[in-house]
Amino acid sequence: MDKDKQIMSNQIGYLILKDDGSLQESGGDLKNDERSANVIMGLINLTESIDDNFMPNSSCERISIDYEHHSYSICMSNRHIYIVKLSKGHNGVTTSSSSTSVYNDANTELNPSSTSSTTVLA
Amino acid sequence: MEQQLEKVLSEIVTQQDTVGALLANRQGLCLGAKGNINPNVSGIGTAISEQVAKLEPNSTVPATVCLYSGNKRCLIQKDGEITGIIYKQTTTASTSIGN
Repeated sequence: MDKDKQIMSNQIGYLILKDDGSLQESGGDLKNDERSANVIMGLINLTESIDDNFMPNSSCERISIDYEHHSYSICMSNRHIYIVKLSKGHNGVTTSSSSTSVYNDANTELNPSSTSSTTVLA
Repeated sequence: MEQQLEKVLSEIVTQQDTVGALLANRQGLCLGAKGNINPNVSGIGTAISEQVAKLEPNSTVPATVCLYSGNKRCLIQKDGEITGIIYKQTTTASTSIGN
C-alpha cells in the first residue's frame, strides 16, 4: 500500500472512486478490486432512496459495513467515494473518529483548494 | 411464529434511540413492523442486505450495514432468510457511533 495513504494502523485497504464508479486509487486488500467497487456502487445507488420520511433522498453521508473482524467505511464527498477497510482490535471496536482524517487527507490531496468537503465529514 | 416475531420486535423498539424496527423475508416482504417505520421499506432493505452479501460471499458471519444521516441511523442485517431493519435517532446532537 502507498505509504501516504496508510494513515491509520488498523487500515488494511482503501478505494477511491469517482462518482461514476470508476476506480481512481486503491491500495492494500482492496488494490485494483473492481469487483468490490462495483458492489459498493450498487449499494450506494440502493441507499439513495430508502425512506423519504425518515432519511431524505440522497442524504446518507456515511455507510459502514461491519463484519466480525473488520469493517468498511464509505463516505461520499466532493464527487468522490472514499472506502476504507479497517481491521478491528482485540475488543472488536474500530475507531471511526480517526477514520475521518483519512477522508480529509485524501480529499486535501486530490483537491487542495477545496475546504467545503471536509465540513461534510467533520 | 408471528407471536415470536412480535415479541422480538417489541423488545427491539424498547431499546434506546430506537424509532422503529422491521423484519422482512427473502422476497422483501414485510413479516412484521413495530414503531415508526414504513413496512414498504422491507423491499429496499432486503435489496441492500442482498447487495452487501455480495461483498464477501465467503463470510460465514452476516454483516451489519449502518447508514448515517445526521442524527439518524438505519441498521440492516441479513441473517439467513430474514433481514432486520432498525431505525435509530439520537435526540441529542451527539456524534455517537457504532450499533
